[in-house]
Amino acid sequence: MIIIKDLHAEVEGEKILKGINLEIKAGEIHAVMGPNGSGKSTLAKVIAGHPAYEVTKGEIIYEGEDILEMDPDERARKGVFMAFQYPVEVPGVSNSMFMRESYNAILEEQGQDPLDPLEFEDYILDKLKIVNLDSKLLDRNVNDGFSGGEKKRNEILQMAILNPKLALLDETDSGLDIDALKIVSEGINQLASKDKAVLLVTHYQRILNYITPDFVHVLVDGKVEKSGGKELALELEEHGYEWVREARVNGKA
Amino acid sequence: MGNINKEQTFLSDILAGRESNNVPEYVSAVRNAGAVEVDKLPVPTQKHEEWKYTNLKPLLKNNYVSAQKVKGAGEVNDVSEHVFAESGSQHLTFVNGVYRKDLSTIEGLPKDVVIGNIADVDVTHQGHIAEHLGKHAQYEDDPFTPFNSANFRDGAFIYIPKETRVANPVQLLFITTDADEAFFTTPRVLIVGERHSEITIVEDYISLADNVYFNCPVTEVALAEGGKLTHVKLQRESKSAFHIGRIATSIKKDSEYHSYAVHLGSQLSRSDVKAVQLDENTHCTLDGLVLVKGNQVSDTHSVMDHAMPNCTSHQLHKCIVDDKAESIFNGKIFVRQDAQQTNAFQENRNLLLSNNGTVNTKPQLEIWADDVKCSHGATIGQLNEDQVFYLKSRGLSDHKSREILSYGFALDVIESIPVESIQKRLTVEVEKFTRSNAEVNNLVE
Repeated sequence: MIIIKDLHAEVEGEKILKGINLEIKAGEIHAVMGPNGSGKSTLAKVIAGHPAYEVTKGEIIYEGEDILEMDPDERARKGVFMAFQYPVEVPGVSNSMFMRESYNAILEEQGQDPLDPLEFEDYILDKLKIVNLDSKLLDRNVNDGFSGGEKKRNEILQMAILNPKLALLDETDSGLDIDALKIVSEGINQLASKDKAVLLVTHYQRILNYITPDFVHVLVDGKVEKSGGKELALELEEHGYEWVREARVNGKA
Repeated sequence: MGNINKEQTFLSDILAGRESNNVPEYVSAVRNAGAVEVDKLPVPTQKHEEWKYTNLKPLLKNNYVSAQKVKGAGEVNDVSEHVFAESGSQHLTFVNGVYRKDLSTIEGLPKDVVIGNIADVDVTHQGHIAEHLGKHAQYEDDPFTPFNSANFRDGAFIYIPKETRVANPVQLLFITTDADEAFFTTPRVLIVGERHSEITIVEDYISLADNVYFNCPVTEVALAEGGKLTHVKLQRESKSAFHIGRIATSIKKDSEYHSYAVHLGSQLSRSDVKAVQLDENTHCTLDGLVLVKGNQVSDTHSVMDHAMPNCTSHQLHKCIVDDKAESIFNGKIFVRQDAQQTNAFQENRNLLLSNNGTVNTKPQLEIWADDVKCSHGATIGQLNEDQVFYLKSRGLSDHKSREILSYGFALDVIESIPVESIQKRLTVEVEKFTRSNAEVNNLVE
């Protein structure tokens, strides 16, 4: 589904990604872990097309197309979705209107008719249950005054509505209490399927108790330092990120 | 024969052609007094502090004939598409400044409400007009208010007797049409609310073409004890028009005046709004929404005068500026020595959508009382790019994202206007405003 080759990216002149190679196939869940500042969130943002990050080298091939030249909205309409680590508050814009406009933009891309507000209301009723959100949140402004947990669940709700092929989850687990973590994880598990792929960026192993990754990658200083199966996350939990760094130093020594 | 500058003679010259036929005594007295002032007062230049950012030279480039004499004026025989649903049974229509009884209806109003053309008011109510007309619009050295006084004949007079509450809004439709030459109109509005009366008035200035004309309206409001007026002004003139208007309000004890002024049209619009709280425990709102693009200039100068204790005021003035357009805001709040326990709030927020737009903002608080709460703020900013990216990351185009965010910016002013049809209308206007010119052209095709 997506192939990342030798990806280098920087923000305001500071090099963050220094040659990432990664391939994610349909049906796979990949967890990207790493210490603070290792570039794992940057990787998700660069795939989504955040304008603050400049790609200086490398390529991202998504469904056979180089997406680096595409605007973020075009990527989204082709099925790339990022759940934000810090969902943005948008005062004055109602959550339901925003989600309907988004979904209609994607329907339009697929050559389908847009939904009117009533049809959309029917469509999202089931989706609300997935993330256990009160429909009252739809009448409020986007993320405006939402609690941390509500914001994260609102992200997963949007993922459920937009039904992306590739979901990038940027530290969706951070700031969640254990109940919210379970709800969000179950939501993600319900949405994962054999024709979809998930890239799960996380600092902690905790969410991987609920979502089982096929692969775990450890990013250190802008590069994939180590890759493995789900057991790698447990080793990290036990030894800490220093263990990967030391292994690298020893390996080179 | 010296060189008399254009500013000195411009208004007098165009007044020379004014109609003077059969106006009642109470109108002619105001007209004559106005004409004397017009001869004395020049059109202000940018050297004048109150006109520092607004250049009136474009106004002076044209010759304007009286609307009653203009050649080739379009005809209007049906206004139903312009009437808001809530005002279906109570609206007055003026076409190119002239009252059109055939396009007006007041059947939805209580029988004791007096409403109609100022120049045609029944003799028993002429005393109210004599008492208030020209008494509230203090204009100092502004020539445009006396210019209106000197020329007006037709206008709306609304008198709400004590204890009378009118539920549905009254719409005053001022329609201008196409014509073969540039012309001027001077509509007048006088609203007198007696004790504990309550009404909503919508002044709506619309244009049926994109021609050049000069509209110079003056509105005066007098509210007695416990009176309540919600006053909406929608300025949707032609994009080539000039609109220079004044609203002046005097309110007495326990009364409430809520004003919402929306400026969308005109190449140059200037709005002077003044509310004077003459007695204790009064409440004022002076909200505004300005949307300008292309080469439009829109200037709002407001005065909130707290003269007496225990009064509040609320002013939220928002502007969206695109292309090379310019918005100007000067918001004066006076809190006089007697006005203890005043609670005054003012906020001016400006959204710049282009790199070439201009915003000039000047909050101006002058406080003599020592036990008051006054807050003010002015911001000029662009759309938040994090918000733009968030919307785009959900598949919305760059343009759609900016449109939605602009609407979100304007929303709180729109939602505070308590007439649903106006809210819907303004939602459409914001959408039209934020579409690119190319998109609008595509829609037309």
